Formats: sequence, C-alpha cells, structure tokens
Amino acid sequence: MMPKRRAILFTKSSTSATISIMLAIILVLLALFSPSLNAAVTPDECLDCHEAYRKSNHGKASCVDCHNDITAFPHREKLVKPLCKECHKETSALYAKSIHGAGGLSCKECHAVHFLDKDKKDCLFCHKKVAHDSLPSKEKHLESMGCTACHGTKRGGSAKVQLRVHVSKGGAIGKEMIDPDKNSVIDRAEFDHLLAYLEKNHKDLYTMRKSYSVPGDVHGVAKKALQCDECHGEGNIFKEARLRLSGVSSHTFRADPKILIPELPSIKDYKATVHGKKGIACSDCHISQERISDDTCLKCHKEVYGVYKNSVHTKKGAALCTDCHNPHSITAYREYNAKQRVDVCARCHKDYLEKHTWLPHTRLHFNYLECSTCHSPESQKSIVFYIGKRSDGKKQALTYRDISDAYSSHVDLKKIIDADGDNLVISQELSDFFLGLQKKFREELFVGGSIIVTKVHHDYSEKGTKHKVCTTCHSHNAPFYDSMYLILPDAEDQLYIPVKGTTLGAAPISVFTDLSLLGEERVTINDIKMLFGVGDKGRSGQAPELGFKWIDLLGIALFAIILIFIILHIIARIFLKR
Amino acid sequence: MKKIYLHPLPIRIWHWANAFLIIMLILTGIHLRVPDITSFPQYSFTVALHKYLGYVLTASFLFWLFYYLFTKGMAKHYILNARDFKGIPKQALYYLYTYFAKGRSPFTPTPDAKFNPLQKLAYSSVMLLLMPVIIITGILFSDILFFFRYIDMIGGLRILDAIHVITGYCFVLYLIVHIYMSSLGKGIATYVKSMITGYAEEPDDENKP
Repeated sequence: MMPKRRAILFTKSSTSATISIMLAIILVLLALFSPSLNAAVTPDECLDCHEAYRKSNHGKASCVDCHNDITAFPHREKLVKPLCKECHKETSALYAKSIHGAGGLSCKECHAVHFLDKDKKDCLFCHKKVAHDSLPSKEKHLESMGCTACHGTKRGGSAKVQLRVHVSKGGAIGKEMIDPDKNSVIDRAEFDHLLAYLEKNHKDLYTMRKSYSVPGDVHGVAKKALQCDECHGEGNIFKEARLRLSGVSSHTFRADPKILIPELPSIKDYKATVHGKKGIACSDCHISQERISDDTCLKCHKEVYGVYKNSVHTKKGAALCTDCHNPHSITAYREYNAKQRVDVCARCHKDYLEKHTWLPHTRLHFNYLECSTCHSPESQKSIVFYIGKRSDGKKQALTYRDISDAYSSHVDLKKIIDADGDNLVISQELSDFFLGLQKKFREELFVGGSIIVTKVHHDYSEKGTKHKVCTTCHSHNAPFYDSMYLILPDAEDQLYIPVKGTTLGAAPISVFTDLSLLGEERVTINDIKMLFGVGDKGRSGQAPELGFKWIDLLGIALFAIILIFIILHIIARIFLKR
Repeated sequence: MKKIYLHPLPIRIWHWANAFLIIMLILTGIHLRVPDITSFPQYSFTVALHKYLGYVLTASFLFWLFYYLFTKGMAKHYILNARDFKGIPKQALYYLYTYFAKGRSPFTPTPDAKFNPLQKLAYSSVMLLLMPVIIITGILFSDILFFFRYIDMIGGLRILDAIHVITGYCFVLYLIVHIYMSSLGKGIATYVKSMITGYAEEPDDENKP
C-alpha cells in the first residue's frame, strides 16, 4: 500500500510531497521518542505551579518521565495515573504476585513516590505488633535479620553467614592451627577444636559474633514465611559461611555453614515421630533457644515424671528427660530393641561393661536385655519375640512389607495368629503361624527374642549387689515368663501379641533355636505324666510339646534305668556272694 | 600271684585328675542347668568355675591324647580291631552271667593290651567321641559372641546347648557305670588300688578279672 501511495504523492506535486514526508518522519519520531519530545517540558516549568514538589526526588526521573501524558502547557486537568511498572518491570511483576500486591495495595502505600528519602514506611509501619511468639529465639532471629530474610522472596545470591572471632589477648593463632588439613574450609571437627583451643588458651579473652546476610526482596512477601528447616535443615539456604579471626591474628576461612547454623531435626521426619503424629508442633515445646527443660515434658508426661523426679537421676541433676529420650526420634522407645536401649544409657554410663564384669558373658547379656531389667526392679519385664529371616548370613527382623508381600494383600496378622480370637496366642498357635509363614518365604525364618521392659518404672535408683542374683532371671519362675509378647510389624505401629502357655524350653524345637536361657526349663511331674498320656493338657487342650525338655527327660530316664540295673547287679552279687 | 605294671604314673595322675574334673564339671553343670537348685555357690561363681574347669579338662585331654599318641598306646589300648568286636558279646556275657557263675574273664590285661573289648568300646567312645564334642561345644560357649558364626552354623545357641547337655548326660551315665564296674575286681577295691599303685594282679589259673 505504502509504495503505491508514495508513488501517487510523488507524481502529484513535489512540494506537497516533501511536506508529507517530513510530517511522516516527525510523526514516526513522535511516536518513538515521545518522552524526549515532552522533555521539552522541563521540571522548572512544572514547579512554577507545583511548588510543593520542588524537593521531589525519584532518582533522576523528571516530572514528565512519569506524567508522560503532559506534552505542553497548560496540560489537561485530568492526567493519566503514572504506572510504576513501566520502569520497575521486574519489581512490579514480583509485587503483583506478593501477598501485598495481590491484596490490592499499591506502591504508594509504602513508597512516597515524590519523596523517596522522606516518609519511608517500613514493615513495622503497618505490622506494629507482630508477636512472633512461635519463633524460637525470637530476639536473636529478629535482631540479626530483617523481616525479608524470612518473609521476602529470595533474590540475588545465596544467604551468607559469618562468624567473627575476636581474640584480644594471648599468643598468635596460626592458620594451620585452625585449618590443619589446609583445605581452607573449616569443618565441624576443626571448629570444635578451635573452640576447645580458645577455651583453653584464651579463656575470657575472645568474643564471637555471628552476622547473617539473607537476600530477600521486600516486594515479594509471600503468604508463607520461611520454615525452620529451610535454614536449619537439609536444604539450608546458607550456602556461604565464613570464619574471620581478628585480634592477635587475622585469618579468614570459608566454613561449613552447618557449623554456624545449627541443624534441626528434619521437619519432614518429625511428622513421622510419635510426637509428630499426635500433632505436636515445634513451637509447642521450643519456646526459646534454650534446651527444653523437664518442665516442657511435664506438661504432658506428668505421671511418669512423678516417679522420675524422686530417682537418683533427677536428685543428682544428672539427666533431663531429653538426655535419654530423643523427642525427634522416629522410632518410639518401645520399638527399640534391647541393644538400642542399652545404648541410650551408655551415652553417659560408658563404663557399663567394666561395671558388670561380675556378670558372666557380659556383652552377650547386654545384647539381650536392657539396663532397666535389673536397675528398675518395679518395671514390667517381658520376653519379646520377633520373627526374622536369614539372608546372606545376616539376620533381620521381618518388616511389615515382608509379611504383606508374603500374604500378597493387606493382612490382619492378629487374626491369622490368634485363630480362636481369644486375644492370647498359645504355643500351638504360635508354632502353626511360624511354620505357615516359613512356607511363604524362600529365606530361612527364625524366632529371635530379647528381654525388655514393656512397662517402665522410671526409677533407676537400684544398684549394688542386690540384683546380682542370676536366678532372678535364670529360673523357670523368672517374672518375664508370665509376660511374653510376639512383636509383629503392622502398617503403622507394632503389634504386641501376648503369648501364653509355653516356656521356651517347651516350645516346638524348630521355633526357638536362637534364644536360650539357662534354667528356663524344668521337667515337671506333669511332663512325665504327659508321656503316659495322663497329664494335664492345660488350657490349650492340646498336649504341650516337650520341646527341648526331652533331653532332660531322656537323660533322667536312662539314669534311672542304669541305676536299677546296677542295683539288680548288686543284689545278684550279694545273693551269689560275689 | 604275680603283679604286672599296667598303669604308668603319668596316666594314673591323669586318671585321678580327670576323675576330679569330670565330677566337678558334672556338679557345676547340674547347677548351670537348674540354676535355682541351690544358692550356694553363687550362680555366677558356678559359671566361672565350670568354664575354667573346662579349660583344665581340655588341657588334661590333650595331655592324654598326646601321651598315647607318643607312646603309641592309642592303637594298642583304645582302637577296636575286628577281634575286639567279636569279643564284645563274650565280655558282656561275662559281666551278666559268667561273673556270677564264678567263671573266668575272657580277657587278661597285659601292658600291651590293658583293656577288654567292652572297656575299649566304652573308653574310646568317651575319650575320642564324647570328650572332643563336649570340649568343642564348651569352648564355643566360652565366648558366645566371638564364636557366634560357628554357633549359627550348628543351628543356634539352643542346638549347641542341646549337644553339650546330651553329651553331658552321656558322661553322667558312663560315670556311674564306670564307678560301679570298678568294684568288679577280685575285691571291691582291687581295681581302684591298681589305678593308684599302677600294678594289677595277674590272675592265678582259676582266677578272674
């Protein structure tokens, strides 16, 4: 179209053509450089009328940079509202998505656009009373970091943390002392070593100060603030850490951020813990950065604490609840095996093996029973059995997965084992279940067991020789034979199924080959009667299997036979005078 | 009546030491098996005693083994040959009948063949079968954690315990028979005396054991 039109212009008149071309160029330029066009309108001209804005400052922008619909004076009375986003594109886009932008607050709510250095409105202007009560170590967090550290959008590099250690007096501290592996990065071991060194050689002569730099854009305040674990967890946003030593020596090192930002237990994992499952939030216990005290636990565990507070541990101020119990542990204490329970005590009582040299097979004992078996006499001791499998020479307890895979659907194990549904598993039911389960597994199954406390009495004051009596446990009368459980993994928890009507020695031979307690079995008159079919069949209505008791029965029987034979021989000798 | 030197001094010492050890091991073993049978001595003391007596028994067994291997007595006195097997019924018949009928023992001990076929059978079973089994299982018990791999191979602690205890019962049964039969000499204490002095009475013509 255009060439045709031009052609016409050229042909009609050369003068009018020249004017037309110039006009066209002007129009094009006008369209392209409209601001510079009205740049002809100087701020001074504006200020002639708008005296109040003489001190206006918005960077280098002049009035018409924003009020760009003013091209000449007098300008229209109703001007178009300037749009910040025409210059501040990125920020505006971010702001639009933010909780403030989406909520309809304009830029002007915070920014006095004509006087940027005056009238500055910070977060506190609106958010005067933000309690932050659920924020642990509130003061520390709020003082060392701005609101945007947690509430702003992360932009412009990673968060940084720096520890400044100022040593005012004392000998110089060499670089290689702080960083012995010379990799210029201070790891936890090196840091711990430095702290110990300072404590020893520069006690009270050093100060430490941490400073944080968390880039956060105030325009991008999101609905949800940063969660604890985003700094104190796996995905720590602090990617850079520095350790600066000043005073007697000056060195700067990079450092592992984890040593300066304490790591919290994983929040994700926490939800799987007993506390997490019950909906207890971090802030329900953590009200300050101080380690939680027993009072915190006491809020819920009053009854247990009543016993504990009178025990040696508390009286000597030796142990807080959290010294033994890790509230962030995924595994509930009742799911701990004997060894894991011993490990809890051993964190302080490191010399427990040396203290128990009187106990034959010391280490073996501690594999199968926990400390409170003896040291908490009032607790309920039980034998707990678990079913495990041997694969590649390793023994492992069956998981819920193993069992549900074996039955190829969701199973109600309890129904399968406790066939008669009386909530009590007898010897026969147990062995039937075990043998039935074995058929479903390629691996060899076994029944393992240990003696643990199933109902704990939190008084561990008992010590000394009183309980060095082996026969407390090594006896067919031992308390745990009245409290036996089969522990089976369930989808959520563990099933504790009471087992009755058997002692280990009388269990079917194939089942309990892995657990042996001296003195657990004793041949009874009933066992002998059973052999002749006149004994008491017990509540199961079936003859209890002799299990390993047949060894003693056979031994005693042979002994008797031989003795009778000898007596007969002696009688013959007497009569025949030999 | 002639006397023959049947039991050399080292063997006599070994015999009585062994006798003491085995009786003590049986007694402590019973306490181990039935812990609440007595509260004296302390159970843990019994455990230790049984263990260390076991070590001494092991040493004593090794002494016996090497003594007979070096003196070449093993084959002569302990290993049963074809003739011995044939002699077993006759020897058994002697104890059950001939002895009362005042008949002669079918066997006369000599320094080259001390034991009759039945003795050979009993002693070799005890010394070459039961003894190694009870010693090995006992050693496995001495440090269960250390030997756990081997205990597992056997089939678990309970199986190991069963083997040890069954062997133990065999010792008890053997012991009562052995003690009783030691009284079947010319006089009740004849054999016991010979185990002390080393000399056995060579039977006169019409005479027995």
